[in-house]
Amino acid sequence: MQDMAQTAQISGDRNSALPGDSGVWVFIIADMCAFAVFFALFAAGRIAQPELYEASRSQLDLGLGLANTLILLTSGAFMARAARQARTDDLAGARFSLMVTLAIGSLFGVSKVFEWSAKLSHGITLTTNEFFTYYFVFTGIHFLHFVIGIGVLAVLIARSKGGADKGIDRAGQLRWIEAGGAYWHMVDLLWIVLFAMLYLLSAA
Amino acid sequence: MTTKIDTRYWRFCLWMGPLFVAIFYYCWGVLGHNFPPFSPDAPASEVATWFRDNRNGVRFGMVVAMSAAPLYGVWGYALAKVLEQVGEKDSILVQLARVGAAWTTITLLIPTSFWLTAAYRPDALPDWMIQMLYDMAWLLIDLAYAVTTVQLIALGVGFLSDKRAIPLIPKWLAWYGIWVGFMFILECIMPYFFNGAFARNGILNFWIEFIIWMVWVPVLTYYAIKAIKRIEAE
Amino acid sequence: MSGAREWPVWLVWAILAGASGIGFALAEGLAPAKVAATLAIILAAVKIHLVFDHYMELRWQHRPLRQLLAAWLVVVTATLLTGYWAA
Repeated sequence: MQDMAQTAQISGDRNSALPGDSGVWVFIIADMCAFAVFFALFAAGRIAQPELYEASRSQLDLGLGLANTLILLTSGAFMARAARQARTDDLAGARFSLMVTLAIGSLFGVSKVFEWSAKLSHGITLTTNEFFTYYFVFTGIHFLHFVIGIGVLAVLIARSKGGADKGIDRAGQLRWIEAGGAYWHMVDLLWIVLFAMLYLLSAA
Repeated sequence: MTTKIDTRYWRFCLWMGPLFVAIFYYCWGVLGHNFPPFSPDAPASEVATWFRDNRNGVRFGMVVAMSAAPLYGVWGYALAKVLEQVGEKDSILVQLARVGAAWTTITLLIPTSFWLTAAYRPDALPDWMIQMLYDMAWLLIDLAYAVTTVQLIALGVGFLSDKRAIPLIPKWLAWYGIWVGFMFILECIMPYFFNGAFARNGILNFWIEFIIWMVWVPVLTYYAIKAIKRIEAE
Repeated sequence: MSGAREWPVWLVWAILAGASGIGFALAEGLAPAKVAATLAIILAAVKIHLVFDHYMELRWQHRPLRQLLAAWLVVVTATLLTGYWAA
């Protein structure tokens, strides 16, 4: 993969280059595969105990699930905007977009804490039943990814500070914004699956 | 580099990593009934009976596993030597990679001694006590994940900072190591479960967690040995 | 850069948000449960495809990666559909 990225840089052929640092895609794909295993576990569990899963699902707050989805999608839009601005050398604009990405994205954390504490106060925990085990573990691990993503965004913003300076490594900045963006979009798309799988699969 | 780097024992030490995995798999895993482990749901009598019937196999397995545990540290120190060639000598990352390997050795030695204790005089111990030793060893070996994570992330971040046109260790492998270190965090929920994917014998907390780590060792060894050749040429 | 194929970010966002809203409304009783659930899974797949193409900007990039991610999406979608319909 590394070699391909290098060849691409030399030949200037955008079609074979990966956005961002090529190695980060290994992390992203490995992570997505781990989540694919999570989804398979959930599917197998649902097949075995459909009534339990439906009864538990109906206790979830669909409105909050939708709100979380919209928060991440909106934050992701600004991330995509930041990458486009960085590509056209508008580093100041990219920096502002990254800040908006972080500000909107942070709301996901607030809403998640709210949602979990509501569940816990109703006596629903990690060990209540299999559905809620998966609910807490999958959304918990996803939340961990989210927290790391927020950290990555903060680092990207800090690194883009010298955007107006002459000697700035623009190619390096773009590479890191694209890599961080790929990660942030992964957090987003994993939530899209979690939202559909946990909240929306109502049984007849 | 002005002075030539002495790489004499590096290859030998690096080979200790895959050797450790092979020995540990057989002695701790197969002889010790840990690959896969007893289900946490298994009755105490089942675990105790197995230890009584197989005491000599477990004793042999744990003695060899304990003797081989330092090989992990030897391997980790050799990797840190390779990492020194990427950035600053004795940087914080090199030190963390070393200490992570050393700590991991300790977290392999202590639980193996618990399994050995269970096999030492199993007739004198009540069933529940053998089960407790078995549980204790598993809780320790799993929940000590974080010390290995220190090694995994230090090596990963260190190798990523390679400024060479073709890095000594490929970036994908550095990222893979970081991911493994990150995935280990799943072990945190293992104490809550007695069956299913998150139990100590579950698909996630046993099969995936152990295999991604056991694959990382020989793959990184292969690339590190290749890197030595380049270090010598430089 | 192939500017002609670059969708405005707001348009992508609007489609994604709209699809999320539809999935939610269907699950809230706008459609029979089985239809709603099936559509929710399909809408999720469409949304993820859009994220790949227009947020991650993979549509004019590295083919093997695109194919890998497409395969992931097919597997995940099939898993969810099986999990629902085999229950």
